[in-house]
Amino acid sequence: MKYIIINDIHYLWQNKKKLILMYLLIYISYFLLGTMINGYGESEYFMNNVFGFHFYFPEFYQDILKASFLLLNYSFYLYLNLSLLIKDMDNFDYLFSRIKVSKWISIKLIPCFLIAFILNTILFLIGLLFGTIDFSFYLVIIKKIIVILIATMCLYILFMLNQKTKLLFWGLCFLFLSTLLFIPINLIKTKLIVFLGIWIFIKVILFVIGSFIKFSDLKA
Amino acid sequence: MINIIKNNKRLILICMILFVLGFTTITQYQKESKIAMTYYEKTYKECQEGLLEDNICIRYTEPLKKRDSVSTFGYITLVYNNINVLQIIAPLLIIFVALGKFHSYLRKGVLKNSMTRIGYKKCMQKMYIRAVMNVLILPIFLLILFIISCIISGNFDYMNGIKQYGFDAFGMENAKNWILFLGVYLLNFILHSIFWIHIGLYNCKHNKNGIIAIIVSYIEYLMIFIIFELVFSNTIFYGTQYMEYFCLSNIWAYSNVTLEGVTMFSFMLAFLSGLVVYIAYKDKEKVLVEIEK
Repeated sequence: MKYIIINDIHYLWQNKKKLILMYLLIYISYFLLGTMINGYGESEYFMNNVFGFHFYFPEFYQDILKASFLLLNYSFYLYLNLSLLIKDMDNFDYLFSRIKVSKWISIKLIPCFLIAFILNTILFLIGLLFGTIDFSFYLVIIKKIIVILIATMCLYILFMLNQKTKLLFWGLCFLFLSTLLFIPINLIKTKLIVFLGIWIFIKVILFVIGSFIKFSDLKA
Repeated sequence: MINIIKNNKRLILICMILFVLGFTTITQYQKESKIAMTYYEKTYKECQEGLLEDNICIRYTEPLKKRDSVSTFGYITLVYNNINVLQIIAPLLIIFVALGKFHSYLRKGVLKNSMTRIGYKKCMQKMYIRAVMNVLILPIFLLILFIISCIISGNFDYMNGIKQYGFDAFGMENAKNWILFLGVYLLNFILHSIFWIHIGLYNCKHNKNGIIAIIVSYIEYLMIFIIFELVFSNTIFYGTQYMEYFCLSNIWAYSNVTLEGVTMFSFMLAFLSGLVVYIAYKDKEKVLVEIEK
């Protein structure tokens, strides 16, 4: 198990190093430059937009920079997590003769958690360094990491269902998209226990689906 | 017929999305403008008959003319959420369509097979042109919207639009000559679409999976957008006349910019990104090694 995790982290550092550094550079440039001008440094703007703690799709059009930050906040992690999953598809035959799908998916979530945890902690420390935030802010960061993990698990569920049952795949796509489009999600106001509950619920679904799916289904 | 649909399913999907967005926005605009017109006419009539106070009637001194075509077009593209959301998702849609064939040709051996017959350079040129042809999607969509705006409004009196409605969509100087404005407006969309597609083409070389290539291209576009906005627009050129040029979504609104300036900037973006793509695909051996990894 530990070799898969080390291998994934090594892969991310080897292949996505530039993108990860660019991502951190954007936030450093925000803290260095953006906070001084145009009210970007106001705590509400900072919390809701730059860190992506409040998202509601119909409000996207109001501020393009805010929308870009929001999309970047989540799509970046989903991209890294998806690339970890697809990376293993190339070594299908070697890996999957030794491990079950449900276990493989569970192990995959550990590097996903680690990457989200490390990057968000770095961002938090940068914010702390520039004096924009205090320590209580870290609780919201934890909620954000859980949301990223939930989104990743949803993505993995879709990935597994894609080859097996198209109807369920499109149905779930529709469900996830409509949740994102029409339900406002506020990480500051919502309690941690709610996100933990959703996380456990989706983890169980992921485990159940993982138990019923064979690797030959994924390969197809 | 089925083959045509199968081969162009991404294009058809995007066209359907654009159709839905355009249709809902125009219907909403028509409904709202009808209500506003009825209200204005009713108040104007009452003012003429002396039923209302003078301070209300100051704004209702002459009969209401319909909003002009350019203002209507600006109102539709800038005020309503449906079309407004394109400012942020248009790059994703264009990259999604353009990369479909290019990525599969590059990765699924079509390039290698074609090279034995027509050579690497010619093959790449063909693939590039096929991908870049998708730059026409947005301009055609916007042109159709403009034609519909012309039909709805029926006049080109931009000054009257500003005077009666108080809405200056693209700046008086820019929209004075509407034919020139429309040409430059569409040209800028073509240049920006080339820029978006170039980001996608660059990433095709380094990503085996098509979806991953599309997502990373979009992430890179978002990063470029934020850096331009934060570093150039709001810091280096802050307070100068150049600050608005670095806002990549300004091709939709033209606020505080000139037509020539925006065109020059868009051209530079397309040219520089083209240069990066050229360098990435120049060396045949390197490309072949990369796609075989």
